[in-house]
Amino acid sequence: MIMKKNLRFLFRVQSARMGHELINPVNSLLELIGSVCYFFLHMVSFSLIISKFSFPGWSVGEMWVLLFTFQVFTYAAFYLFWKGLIHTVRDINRGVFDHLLTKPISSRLITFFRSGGLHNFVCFILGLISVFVSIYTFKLTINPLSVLIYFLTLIISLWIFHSFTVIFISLNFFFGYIPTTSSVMFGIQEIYKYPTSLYNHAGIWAWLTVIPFSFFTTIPTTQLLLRPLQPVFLAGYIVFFILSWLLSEFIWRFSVNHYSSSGS
Amino acid sequence: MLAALSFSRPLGQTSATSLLPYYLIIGLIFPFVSSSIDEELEELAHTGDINNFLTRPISLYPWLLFKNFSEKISQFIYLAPLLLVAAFVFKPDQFPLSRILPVFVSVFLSSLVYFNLSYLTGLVSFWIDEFWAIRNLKHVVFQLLGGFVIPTTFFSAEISGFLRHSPFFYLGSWNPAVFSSGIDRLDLFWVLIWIFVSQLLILIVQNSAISKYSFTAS
Repeated sequence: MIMKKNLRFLFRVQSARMGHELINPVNSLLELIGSVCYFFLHMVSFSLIISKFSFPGWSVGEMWVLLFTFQVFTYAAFYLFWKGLIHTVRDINRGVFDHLLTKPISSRLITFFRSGGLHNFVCFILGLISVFVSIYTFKLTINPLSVLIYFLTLIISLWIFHSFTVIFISLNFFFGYIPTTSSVMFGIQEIYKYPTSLYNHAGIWAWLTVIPFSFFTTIPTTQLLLRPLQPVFLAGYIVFFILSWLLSEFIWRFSVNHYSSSGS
Repeated sequence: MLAALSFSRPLGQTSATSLLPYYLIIGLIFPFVSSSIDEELEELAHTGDINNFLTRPISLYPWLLFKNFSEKISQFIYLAPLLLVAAFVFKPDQFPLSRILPVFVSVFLSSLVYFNLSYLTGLVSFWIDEFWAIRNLKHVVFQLLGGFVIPTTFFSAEISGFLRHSPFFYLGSWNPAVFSSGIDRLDLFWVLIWIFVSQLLILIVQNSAISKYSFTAS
């Protein structure tokens, strides 16, 4: 019942925003140019990199699928969370966050899922098309189940990403206005672009810093392309998912319960 | 990116280690060269604060230019310890002291080109509301063609040769070249040409922008 209510809310927020954007098509076109140019920046720079370097255990075709999965993941994250992230830090700072708490819907949902624009959604779709075009071009093997698991793991990766943003945004409740907390997870996106196996022999520091975040795109790609996945990576991914979710839920509830606009 | 490349396998002569000095120089000069004057100009136009410059005997471009350079000087003071560390990384045989002056000159000229091109981009905000899209486009073009993301030598010989005569080469890629071999006269000629052309364009576009400008509501 709650799930249905939340999904209905999510759908209404997204469709309302899209409808609003379509009123002015010239602005929407400009926004699309501003968004899609990063898509091409990643594509061009990546094609130049793979012309000079190879990645052990990954063919060129598989690397392209990984890159486009990175694009799908990043634009989905921008679409779903970006608006919420930039507005929430301002709301907490100005003391208008109370209005969100009074609404009869999950505070986490209404705070963070505010829709990030049609242009990000279009780039997300462009990324998905590119993934399947790459699979077709490089004659890579997939099956319906692998596609299903691909989307499932993408959602899990997005949830981990979201959990981390919740943790960073919560710092604003305790330490005042920190606008950079909105973009921390986007600022380290270069990590999501390369396969996890690259850092396999880099030691404990890689496990503590780079490896968990490189799971975001590596795990969905390996599942889609039916590549063997090291059990330690799968276990690490699941542990990372559960821990980040629990930690973010605990921190969010603690922060909201102790929030007071008059005293902050 | 460099960390990821250090675990990858080079296909040719370019390795992650050989790219390290390039990225170190690019990383060090970026705060001095880059400019977000387009954002400032957009804010001035959209808030109406630009009226202050239209009614008083003070020109907008020189004011913003000197403001920009004063910020760079304060950044230089903040980043001085990092520059000292870099001086230890580059041993005197790789970077003789006689090259300090050419490097300062190249960084200064690069920052002027960057400022002028950013200023020109900012002037677009007089006509467009969704300016962030144009800013993104500027960022992508500067990052890619200026050699901030990838060295321009990664491009094919034709594109690389073409870029050398474009203003983008003088935003970033030119500085590591000056670090290693000093200032080339032809490069100096091109950078001065681009500064002159961009100044001229600023004059024309700014006059056209201000003649159309009217601020009636906040």
